[in-house]
Amino acid sequence: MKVRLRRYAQTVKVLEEFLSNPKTWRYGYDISRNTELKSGTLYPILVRLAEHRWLETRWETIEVGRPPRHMYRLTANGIRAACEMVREVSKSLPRNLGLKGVRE
Amino acid sequence: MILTLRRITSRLLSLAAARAPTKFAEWTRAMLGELDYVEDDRSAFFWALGSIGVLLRFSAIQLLLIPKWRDKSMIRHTGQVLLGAVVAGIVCMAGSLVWMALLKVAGLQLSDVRISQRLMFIFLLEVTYFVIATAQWRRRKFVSVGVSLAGLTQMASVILTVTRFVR
Repeated sequence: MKVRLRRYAQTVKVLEEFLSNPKTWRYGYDISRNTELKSGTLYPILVRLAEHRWLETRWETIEVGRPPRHMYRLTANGIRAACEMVREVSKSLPRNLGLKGVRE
Repeated sequence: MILTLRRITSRLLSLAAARAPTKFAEWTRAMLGELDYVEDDRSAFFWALGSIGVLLRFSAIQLLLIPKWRDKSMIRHTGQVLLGAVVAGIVCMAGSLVWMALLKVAGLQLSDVRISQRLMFIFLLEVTYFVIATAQWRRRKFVSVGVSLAGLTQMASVILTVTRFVR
């Protein structure tokens, strides 16, 4: 039985980043830069999201001679669940501190 | 100098990745691969440090999972050994019933039976255990171990009794 994903601020931050453009595939380093999360924080979140099937992954070879890059995108279920989680969090915050990128 | 720092960083992360649990191989490869695309060396250094932290966490998770798996198999194996001992007990009880029936037919009391005949009965029981243990060794190793242990215990108790009787 899988444990329910907890609403940690960093997880919400990552989800928010994905939700800003849900159809786009993203690289780990880009997510790290945009969310200002270190790799040590980001990757465990990505692993958990993938385990819960909120995230789909694929490999992309950009240049020959350079390592392929792991890419991430929210699944349909992931988008739904992420919207719900981000909305719940934004509800619990005062209006002027509401999270950006969350469409009601 | 800058190039060296990046190389050291990359080498460190590769070393950690080589020892990372296979369950997280995809993620290990992802972090290692991404290092190549980190622009500046300072960021690359911190990226590698963070990644090593994640790999350590993955290894800790793996270490925590292994004892659980071991415990499950240990419980299963202990159960099989006990089953083997129960099988040996049933054989012993069945043998004793046959032995008592034979004495009844011969009209003998247990005190009338000679020690050599008693030992013969124990020997037959031990042979039965040996046959069962050998037959089960390939398919049910731990049941076989249980039968053997019960047989050995019985033999030890017989030896102790006989040595006391001889004195």
